Amino acid sequence: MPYYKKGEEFYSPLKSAKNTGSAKSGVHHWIHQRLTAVALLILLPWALWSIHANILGASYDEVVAWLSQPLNAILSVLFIITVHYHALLGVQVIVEDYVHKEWLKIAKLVAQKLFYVASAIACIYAVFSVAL
Amino acid sequence: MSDENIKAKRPLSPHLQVYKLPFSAYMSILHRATGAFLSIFGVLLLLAFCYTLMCGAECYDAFVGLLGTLIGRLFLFALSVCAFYHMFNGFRHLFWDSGKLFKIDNAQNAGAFVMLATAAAVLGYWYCAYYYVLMK
Repeated sequence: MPYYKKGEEFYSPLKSAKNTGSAKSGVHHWIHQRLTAVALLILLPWALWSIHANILGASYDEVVAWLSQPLNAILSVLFIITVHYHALLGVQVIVEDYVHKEWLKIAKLVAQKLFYVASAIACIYAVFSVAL
Repeated sequence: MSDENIKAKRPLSPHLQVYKLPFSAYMSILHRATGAFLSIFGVLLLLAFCYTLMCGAECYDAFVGLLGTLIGRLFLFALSVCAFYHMFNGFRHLFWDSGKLFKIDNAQNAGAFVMLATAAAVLGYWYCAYYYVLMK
């Protein structure tokens, strides 16, 4: 009879064998997805409103003037970070669910991570260079 | 009870080819599909917007011109449907995460509400876009 800590009677022996279990981690992924979701419930309506009120039908100079206001620039950067993070967490789950060839899965996960980080940095750089 | 009887009484798992998915299952699939669409095309649009804005007026005007074509507008319309649906249904998911709306009736009513809210928001958004901005 192997030794179990109280409350861990139903853990599979694999957990002790592989230390953190087969999935290794996951709670922080889940929590971050909800956190970014809540943030986006505020930021997305703001973005949709801004598109309607300040970007649609506006000239280049008007859009630049809009983005140059500090509050708009800050909210834009927050929106960019949150959207990219939320999207990355989402597509990661999709690939983990549907791609079963191990090498292809890892390749896609790495490519996604690199793409979303690069895209986020490019967007933030663009906002700063327009706004400042 | 013999083994045969026990086997016959066991519930069958849903066989996807003959199983009629419930409404909330379609909404769940749609949530993921719209999320994937937004993650790819929404992010690319955001990137293109920021990048062309940084590159200058000519670049930005070309970008806006491209979105102004029929295909561009259809693309934006599809994107807006995805964004509103994913936002409203995501709100429903957050209710579930906090332990609410789990009764079948509540879950389905909330789903119907999400559908109606999405339709209303998309139509309202595009009506305002055309009426207040693009027609002027």
